[in-house]
Amino acid sequence: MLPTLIFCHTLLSLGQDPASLRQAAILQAVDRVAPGVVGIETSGGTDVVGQPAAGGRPAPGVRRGTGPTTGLVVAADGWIISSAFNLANQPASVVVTVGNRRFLAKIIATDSSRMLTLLKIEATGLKVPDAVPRDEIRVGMAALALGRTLAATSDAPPSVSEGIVSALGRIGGKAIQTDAKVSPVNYGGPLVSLDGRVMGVLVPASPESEGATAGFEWYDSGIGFAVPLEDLRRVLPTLQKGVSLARGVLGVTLSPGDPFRATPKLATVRSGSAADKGGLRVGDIVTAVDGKPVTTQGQFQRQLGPRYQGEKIKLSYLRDGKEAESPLVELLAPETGKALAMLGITPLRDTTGQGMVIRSVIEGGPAHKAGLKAGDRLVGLLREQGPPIPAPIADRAALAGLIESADAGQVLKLLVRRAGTDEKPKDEKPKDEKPKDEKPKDEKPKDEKPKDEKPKDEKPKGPETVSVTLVARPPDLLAKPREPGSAKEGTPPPATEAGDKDPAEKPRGFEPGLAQKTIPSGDGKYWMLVPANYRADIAHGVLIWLHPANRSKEPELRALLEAWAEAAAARHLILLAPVCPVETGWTPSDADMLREMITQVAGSLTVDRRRVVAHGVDQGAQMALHMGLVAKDWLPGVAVLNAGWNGAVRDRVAGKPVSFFLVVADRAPSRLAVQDLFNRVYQRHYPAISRINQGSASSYLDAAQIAELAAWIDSLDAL
Amino acid sequence: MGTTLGLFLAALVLEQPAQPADAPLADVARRVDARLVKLYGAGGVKGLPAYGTGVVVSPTGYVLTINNHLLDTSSLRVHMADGTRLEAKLIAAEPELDLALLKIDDPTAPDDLPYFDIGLAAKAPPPRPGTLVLGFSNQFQIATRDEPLTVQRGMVAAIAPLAARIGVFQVPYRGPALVVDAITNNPGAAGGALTTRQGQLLGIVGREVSNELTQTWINYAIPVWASFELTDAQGKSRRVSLTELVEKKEAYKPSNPADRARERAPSVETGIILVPDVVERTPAYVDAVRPVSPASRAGLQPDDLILAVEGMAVPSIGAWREILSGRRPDEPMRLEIRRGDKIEQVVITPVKLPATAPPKPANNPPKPAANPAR
Repeated sequence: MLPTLIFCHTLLSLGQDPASLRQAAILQAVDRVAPGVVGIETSGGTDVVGQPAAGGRPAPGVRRGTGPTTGLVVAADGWIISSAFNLANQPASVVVTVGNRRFLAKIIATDSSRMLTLLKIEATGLKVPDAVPRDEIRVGMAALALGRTLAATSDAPPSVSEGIVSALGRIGGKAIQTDAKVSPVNYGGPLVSLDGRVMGVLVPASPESEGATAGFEWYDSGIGFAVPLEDLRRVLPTLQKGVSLARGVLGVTLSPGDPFRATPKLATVRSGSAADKGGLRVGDIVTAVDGKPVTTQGQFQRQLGPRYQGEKIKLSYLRDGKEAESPLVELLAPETGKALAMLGITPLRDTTGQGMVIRSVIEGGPAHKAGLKAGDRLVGLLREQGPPIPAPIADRAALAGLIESADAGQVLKLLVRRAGTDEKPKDEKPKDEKPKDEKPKDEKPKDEKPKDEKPKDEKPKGPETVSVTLVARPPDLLAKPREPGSAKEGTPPPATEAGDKDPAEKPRGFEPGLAQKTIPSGDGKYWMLVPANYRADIAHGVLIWLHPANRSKEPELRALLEAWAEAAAARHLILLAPVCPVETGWTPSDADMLREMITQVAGSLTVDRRRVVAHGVDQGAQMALHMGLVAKDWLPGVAVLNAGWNGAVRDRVAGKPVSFFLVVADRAPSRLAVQDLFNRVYQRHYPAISRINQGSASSYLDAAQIAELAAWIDSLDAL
Repeated sequence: MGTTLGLFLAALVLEQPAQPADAPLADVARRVDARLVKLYGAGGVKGLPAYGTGVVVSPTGYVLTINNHLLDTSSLRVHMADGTRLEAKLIAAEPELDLALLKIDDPTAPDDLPYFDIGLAAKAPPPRPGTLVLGFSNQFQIATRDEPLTVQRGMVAAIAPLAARIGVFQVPYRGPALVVDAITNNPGAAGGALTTRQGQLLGIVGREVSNELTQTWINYAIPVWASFELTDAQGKSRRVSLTELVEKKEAYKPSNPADRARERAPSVETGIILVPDVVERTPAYVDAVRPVSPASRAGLQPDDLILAVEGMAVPSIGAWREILSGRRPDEPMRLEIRRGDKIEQVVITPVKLPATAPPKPANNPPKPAANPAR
């Protein structure tokens, strides 16, 4: 407070014009902080950080410059904080410059929640800039962004850009926003107030994605971010011990809804998670975090966003209309070491009515051992703890969520209606049946419970309870070869759904065969091949071919789709080949076009969104990997040839499964890179298969390999 | 209703004469604008603009602008601040400064034009990082004829050589540049004015370029006090300033990029053999040291990592070569090297590259300082 007062006094006493006063204040502020703004020089490391350049085009990745970057002194005895961006390319050697002195630096720890890296140099007596207390930071305050990249020499004044504080509490409550120019020129440097104190550390950041380079695309745009220095000081002692920090995870997903209106109602609670230990259950509505009321999903997430792993929080929630409060629970690190659990079935995709019907049972799997059979309908689950109230399983998606949040080794007590006893179609079906022109019917929740909520006891035979011990999902699960001649869905389905839709019904707006389409917003074109045996009552998988750069000509796309035609018919796949809007190749922003394409196709054809696969080679493969590893929002499958990944492989996101099918030619130069990618996705427990293709990097899959890939797509929704 | 009233009030406010507090800036803008011209020349192909900006530097109509593609035509035209359209011709193009001097070439042109005195401006105390500045240019050709140019405010972010410190290699000017935090360098902005808040000329707005240090676009101006080193046939060198260019009205250096690249080729030998330069960011690790060479005398050893030369970081083998190309024989250089877990300082005095020595096998030639627009 004192410096501010003195400063104001100086302002008034000089009585000069405002512009020269401001000028003087800016220079003073820069001089005051400058000794604490140090340079970071790196040697070696990768050229591209975040995601790789593909096909010679700096596509989803960020090319890392060669210049020095910036750090901020946070303790006099050699502790330097910087943006993780500056070290994300894993340099061979890191040097910190203080004035004209150079010091070798060690990377001590990273805060992956706020994308900061702590360095240590053997130095003493460094100048630590003062911090602006958080509650003194106001929107509209002048703000200077300081950096070392452009400074003529390491002892020249730092570079500076001026702006204001534009907003507080950005990026899930973690960052100050400023309109000063923020870029690699000053990432890691301080955001400084006009009286020469530090508000925060400049970082690239994006509300949409995490990662050291997220938000880079906004450089110099007037949208810049800084992590408040006060927040950093709070965790500094932990980082100094060499303990890296991560976001704290509660272990829940929320029911879909408008984040600004919908209440935070829990859709899944991962077993063993903080929420689980706190006694929260599916269906609970969170009303407060640590006593701070939350009414919307957005508020809930802003409360959780800034928390670290290891922090303890208390949740208030509503269950069955009654207020309750959890004990203090410790947030865990983002899920890493947990294998996906498996029940060992493939679901019938067109199940109507409550529950989910088993299409086939995987030989030797848990379901098989427990005596479950094709045609059995899973209708509910008995809770392990608490009163044995059966929780209904609404549909396939609900069961998938359940399995995904469970652990291998866990015992599930399932309520099962046996294949033979499920025969009450006359009763159930008319109520459940949707009008013919409805959306694909295996799409998502049917909220209406079967009206026969009435006592199940009345039935001669109620659901049986079957205990199944889940196992870890083998990464290389493949569907069995199809039995020739089976008209639909392979194994003998119970009679439930045959005929509830006219099999001969023509897809609206789409004829079987090859056609060129345009997405509604008008910019994107794509080729589509609907198999000749298409039927609206069969949920189809989708294969999206992402062509390499400059390979978007019709004959090439047509040839590829036609190579797939046979497998597509056998496995009920719709083939799509979008045309990249620019010849030079895909960029991350094209994901929007692909999403729009899928939405359009699913609007007219029966599409199973759990079996949509992006497939490509070269630059198309990089785009597919980007969607699977970075965007992670709707794509459940990635199948690529000869493609490695320079970027990070991050943790699985609950509720958004992604599987990988990696093919590499035995003579491809990228063979090691593909092996590395496979190892990394495998370590993170993504389901993944790798296959070796005899021949050179330029050869595509042969018919048998296409058939295998199609079978893999067919297994994507196995549970 | 509320909106209408608001608009009405806003209109009232706008109708008022400028507030006293704004008056100085408005005056500054008017004064600077009268000394600038809108420039029209070659371009319009390959996305290059056919328009630019120029700064009047004499009462008789000499105009300073960036030495870019715009000048590749016999029909240059300028629009004066009062809207007059006049012919202009190229007098001198100086590649080392990346500047060109034009002359308004029209019998009807007045000879008492308002102008910036370059000599005077060059003597003013230089700005420093943090100095508030204004940028004036006809970016995006927003103004025509007598319309005032675009004014931007910002500050000097840094003052540093474009190539070595800022990683801009496609601009021939090698001296320190004024880097600005505002987005001043847009199409058509080249040749505009960077001034102080009081309207004193600080520099000429440069090209649109991105840099290799950060892989971002950079906004810069060539300072009025810019100069370059000229070596005559006898090998004597002296500095030529921008002021001298404007006064003598002639170019000093060939503008042929090939000649200039040859001039910049490394001419010194150190005896350091670096590891093979396989990727763009190969660190400058010493692979071997030639016996009886400057390197062996300086005590360099295999596996030393060269961190810096004369205080300037060496992030890669490419950067090492770039630095060597600017060194002269028998001039000692201070290296900072990493040896194990220590930083050590060594001084090495390179010798003249023997004329018979074959070019180093693994080394690519340094980037020619070509002007891509020409």
